[in-house]
Amino acid sequence: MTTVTQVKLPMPRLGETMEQGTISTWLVKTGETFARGDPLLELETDKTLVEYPALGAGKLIEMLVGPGDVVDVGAPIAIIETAEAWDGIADSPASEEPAEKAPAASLPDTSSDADARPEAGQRRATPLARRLAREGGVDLSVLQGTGRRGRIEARDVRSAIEASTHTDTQPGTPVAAHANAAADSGPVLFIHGFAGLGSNWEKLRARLQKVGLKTEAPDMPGHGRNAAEANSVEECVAWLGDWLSAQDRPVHLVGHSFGAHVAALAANRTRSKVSRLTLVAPAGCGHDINGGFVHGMAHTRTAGELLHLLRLLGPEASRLPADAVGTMATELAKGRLQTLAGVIARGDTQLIDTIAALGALSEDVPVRAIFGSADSIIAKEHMFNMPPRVASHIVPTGHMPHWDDPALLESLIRGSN
Amino acid sequence: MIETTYRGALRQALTDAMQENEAVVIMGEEVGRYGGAYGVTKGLIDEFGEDRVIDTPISEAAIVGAAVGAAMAGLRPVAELMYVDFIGMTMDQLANQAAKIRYMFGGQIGVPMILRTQGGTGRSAGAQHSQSLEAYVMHTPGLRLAMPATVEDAYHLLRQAMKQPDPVVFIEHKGLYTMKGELDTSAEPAAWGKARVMREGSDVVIVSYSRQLHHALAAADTLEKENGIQAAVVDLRTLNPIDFATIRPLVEQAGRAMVVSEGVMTAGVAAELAARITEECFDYLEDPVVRVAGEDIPISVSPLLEKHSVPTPEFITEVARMMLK
Repeated sequence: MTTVTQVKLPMPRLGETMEQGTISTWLVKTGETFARGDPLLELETDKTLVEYPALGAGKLIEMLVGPGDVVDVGAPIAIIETAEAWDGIADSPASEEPAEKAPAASLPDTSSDADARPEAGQRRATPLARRLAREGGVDLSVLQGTGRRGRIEARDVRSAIEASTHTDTQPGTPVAAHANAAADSGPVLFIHGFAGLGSNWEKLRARLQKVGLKTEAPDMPGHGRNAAEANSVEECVAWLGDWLSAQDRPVHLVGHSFGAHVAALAANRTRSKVSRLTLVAPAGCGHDINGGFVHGMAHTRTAGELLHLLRLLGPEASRLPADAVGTMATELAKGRLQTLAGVIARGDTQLIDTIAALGALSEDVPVRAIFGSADSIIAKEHMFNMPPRVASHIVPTGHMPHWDDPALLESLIRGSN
Repeated sequence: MIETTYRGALRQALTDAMQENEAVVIMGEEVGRYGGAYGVTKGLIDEFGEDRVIDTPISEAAIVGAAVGAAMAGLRPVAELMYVDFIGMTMDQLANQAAKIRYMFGGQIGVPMILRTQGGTGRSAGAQHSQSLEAYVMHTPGLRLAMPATVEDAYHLLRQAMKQPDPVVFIEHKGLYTMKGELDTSAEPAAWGKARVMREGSDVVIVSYSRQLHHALAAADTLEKENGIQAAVVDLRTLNPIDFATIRPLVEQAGRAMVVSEGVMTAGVAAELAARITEECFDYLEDPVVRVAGEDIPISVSPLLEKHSVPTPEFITEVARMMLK
């Protein structure tokens, strides 16, 4: 017995060159049933006036356009109820969001257009992986592909089966799949924040390397040893995009503060290269920011001023040794970041937005956001602005959770929470 | 156990067969007094006489046509074609007569003949004398096809071929005649139609035959030493019959397979084998079955161009690395 579903009826293309059509007359009334072949409505294009026949039996639930409306090809014109699969409309359920869609693995060339995304049955997976999944009762649609161009290989299915036998979760549930993905995915790439350095991640990287994860933490343009200057956000995003494109396996991307903003934007453009995204004290997720800190860092000239700023970051940052503070002050006094500070924040107002990118990205890639409960740069309340698919955590730290509690960050990044 | 060459092993097989069975006769261009273009039949005319080692006119059609008739009349002819490149001249005798007679006469009579020939690159012999045309033969039901890669098989496979009730095309490789190896003529050989696993390995299966077998084995050594990749290597020995029973479990275990052939890639032996492995082992594959085969070009006289017209050990190694990356 087939289930009756509500689907959106798209504007048909009635000829190779047709881009738009005009609704002439509806031939079926709202609530009326129709049989396969019944004319539903009359359409007018610049060349012709034709009847649009039903491709299966059903019922007209709602007209979305009326007579005289000019509609683009493919745009919805009505909601109908049908038990049959109609060519071209099977993939567009009337409810925008399938209720229990799990985060999908990053697929190659996945566009942001939801309709173009392959259905679960068409996931890129090797024949062997498909057989193992069938035999092991694993749902391929919730697995992370770690193979070439993001495809699911036998090892992904095997570790999902293994993970499910080691935990109480059912085989193939997202939880099992994600726990496994952390162990089996590509390297972890860390992006530091504004006025930070790749070396900020040392403590956390040492822990992850100990458990066999490969990690990298480059300096962003405008920072440290990176010779390239960054006077706009785009320069940082493009730099990271290039870095991601050059990877042969998807990476787990971790960004801190302004680095989280850069990471989210780059990940959104280069989805096939990102298996997971973790944001630590992310910038761009709320209206306000501690502007005094941002501009202070960009314009600081003395170690004394810098010490005051570092205290804002949290307990560990306030304990930095004097020589490290001195080196940092000299570096910042070069003024490389003054222009960038101006495009990030005006006074206490954030000029950049991360949320829009996260909304789209989190449909495809698992995203986690971590906020410090004692963060005095970016307010923990920004957590409430996160899109629904982003998993959010409040940790008892300042703006530098990876300094204040590296053990906790390690477990969050490994996904073994 | 004696040490000999591929050529020596072939000559030994012919000698032993002729001693055992008076019905065995050899015929071909310059097989008698000259001893064969590649010296395989050297000296046989002195031992067995002109009636059993027959120098024929330069007519491939006549050689194969005469062999078909002789086989039907009760002899065990071993015809020699100097180069497989000339097989086109014999196609009616081979494909329409030899391959069809058992079927068309309702099984009353067969054509138990051997057509010995040689092919392949490696001697700078040019576009008309360097081809690998086994696909022509494999594409004709009714013809058996054997392609020895080793000294042992040069002897045993030829002896086995001469016991078959049907026509066997026996294609040697011109680059292997001087290859040395040990031969035990009294040893029990692998059965006719049975492939031989030359090397075990669980990462990728390389299926090959004739000279490319040696390139595959060299590649497998490099892969193990430099990359820790374990490649299984299979010598098919015969292309008709094909021994799938040996290939299947290896591919099912490794999940990856590569077919290496010197013949051109398009519509070739490698294509047939790749398709068959894909069909039979689909659910076990982690990668498409890869064809590593000759370029779709005429073979150059230039030794360097010739060498790279067909798979090299380095190329096989590189492809295997890409598959396992």
